[in-house]
Amino acid sequence: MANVSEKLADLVARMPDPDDRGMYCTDIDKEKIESAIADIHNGGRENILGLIDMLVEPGKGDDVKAHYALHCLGLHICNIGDQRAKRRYGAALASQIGGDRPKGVQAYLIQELQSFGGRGAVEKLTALAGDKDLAQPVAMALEAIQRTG
Amino acid sequence: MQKGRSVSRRGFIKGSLGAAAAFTIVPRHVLGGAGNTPPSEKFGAALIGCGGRGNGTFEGLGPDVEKLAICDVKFLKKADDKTIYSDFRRVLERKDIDMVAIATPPHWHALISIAAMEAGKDVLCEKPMTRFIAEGRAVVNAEKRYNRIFQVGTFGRFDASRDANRILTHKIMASGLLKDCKAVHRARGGLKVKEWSGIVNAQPEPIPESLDWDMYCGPSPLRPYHPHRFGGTHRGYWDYEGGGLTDMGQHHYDPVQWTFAKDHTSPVEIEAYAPPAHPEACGMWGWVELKYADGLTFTFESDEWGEPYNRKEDRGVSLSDLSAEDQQKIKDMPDPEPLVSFPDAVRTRKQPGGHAEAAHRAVTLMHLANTAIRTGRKLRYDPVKELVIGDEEANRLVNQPMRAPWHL
Repeated sequence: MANVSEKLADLVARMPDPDDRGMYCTDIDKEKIESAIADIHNGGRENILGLIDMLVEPGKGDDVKAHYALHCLGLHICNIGDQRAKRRYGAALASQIGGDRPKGVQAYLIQELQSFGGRGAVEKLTALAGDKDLAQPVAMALEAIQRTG
Repeated sequence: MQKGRSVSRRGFIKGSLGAAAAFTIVPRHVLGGAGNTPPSEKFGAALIGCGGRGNGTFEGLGPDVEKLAICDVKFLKKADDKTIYSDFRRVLERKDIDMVAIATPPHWHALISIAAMEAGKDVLCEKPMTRFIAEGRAVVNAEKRYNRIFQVGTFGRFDASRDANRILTHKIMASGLLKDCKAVHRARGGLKVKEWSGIVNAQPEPIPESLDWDMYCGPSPLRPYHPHRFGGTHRGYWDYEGGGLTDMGQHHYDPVQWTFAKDHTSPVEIEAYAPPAHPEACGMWGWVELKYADGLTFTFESDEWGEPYNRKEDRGVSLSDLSAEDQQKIKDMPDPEPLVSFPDAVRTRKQPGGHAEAAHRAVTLMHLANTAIRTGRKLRYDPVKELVIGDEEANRLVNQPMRAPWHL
């Protein structure tokens, strides 16, 4: 994992392990998760990009914890009500779409923008409207932002 | 018109569509003997969604139906577009289909229900009625616009509506005389939280040749195929349902909602105790508390994670909650009309007991609960506008975009 600090990797490692069915049903420690996510948030944009660097195309490796942590970070930022942090989060996600990252990773980032993105992401999303692999998630993210953002 | 029946099939079609033109019935087979419903009095019906709940849902249409078609996205290789279909739109084009039973996963319930009603069919739909709140309002609007019979297949409210104690509660709550409701109804356990969770580390697998995966995903995101996302275990994914809470919750709370006369409103405060939710897979949660504007409180308690709910104890309503004068008003109130079954509603065109507004409000309880779980914060809800107040992210779950070309 390039560009991932040891501290970030340690925080991500605190996310739950899937159980023997592959589910998040066993040893789910709310306080441990939320504490680690709060620490990730304190690392700012660098940690957001670090989490994104840990993501892989579906079927190409194990990014279960980073995948979950990135979403939890979005939830945390919304819950603390920090609008500036929310804009920074959306901007960091948007900055990583449209480039060389695997399409499956970009699709996930676009899904996160559907949940947490604002108008600042519209330009980057719109630029991908013609991409055959990303057009559908892009359209859904734009619709969500337009309705409520 | 056959003796004992309010509306012949011919009369039903003409009356419900307002058509003045003559209509010729061609019997499908030789008339049956005594006790058998003649073919011309049978309704043509189709089953859309032929998984585990398919046959059970179809039986809810009643005895006087003839199964003319079955439809499922897993029939891709054997569909003949005569009796076996893989695309529900071809089924709905048929003029001889009067009603449909919908037993697909929930992410398809609203769209197929609306399309069916638009095509002039009556609808019996499996629970949960919808995948998100805005879908439910669209179904309610379609029921009115197209003047169709719509019912969700939960039947507990019919039993509740015949129980003397619950009738009394219903009358007290419906009267508007109880100004400060201290009632609490707690739903503990039986919500299959672990059983119907989703896999978080699923690796893509080849799509079975017999399955139209794109059509299966439909209005939900097109994900890499995995068998756990299909065939019952779909319940564990936000894309298709909402875990055990949504799947089992409507069974539990539909009769309770009737009992407390809340078929036309929703809670105004929702709070959940749960770990941060996974973006795609339904997972563990502890409890959710929902409060109505009049003070009535409902809870969902998983009994499968975290500290148990301990804020309030179960409490009903009784005549002693009212003044002597108001108690007499309740006693003088007539009991509510018996709820109408789906088959009776089809024939009489009366509103069925589990009509769209009631079912929509019931499943809204589950959607609000899941929205509180998924956002991780307390929500305030406007039951008239059907929006979460001041929460953009929560409202993105109340009304979710659909994958093109599908839309409400």
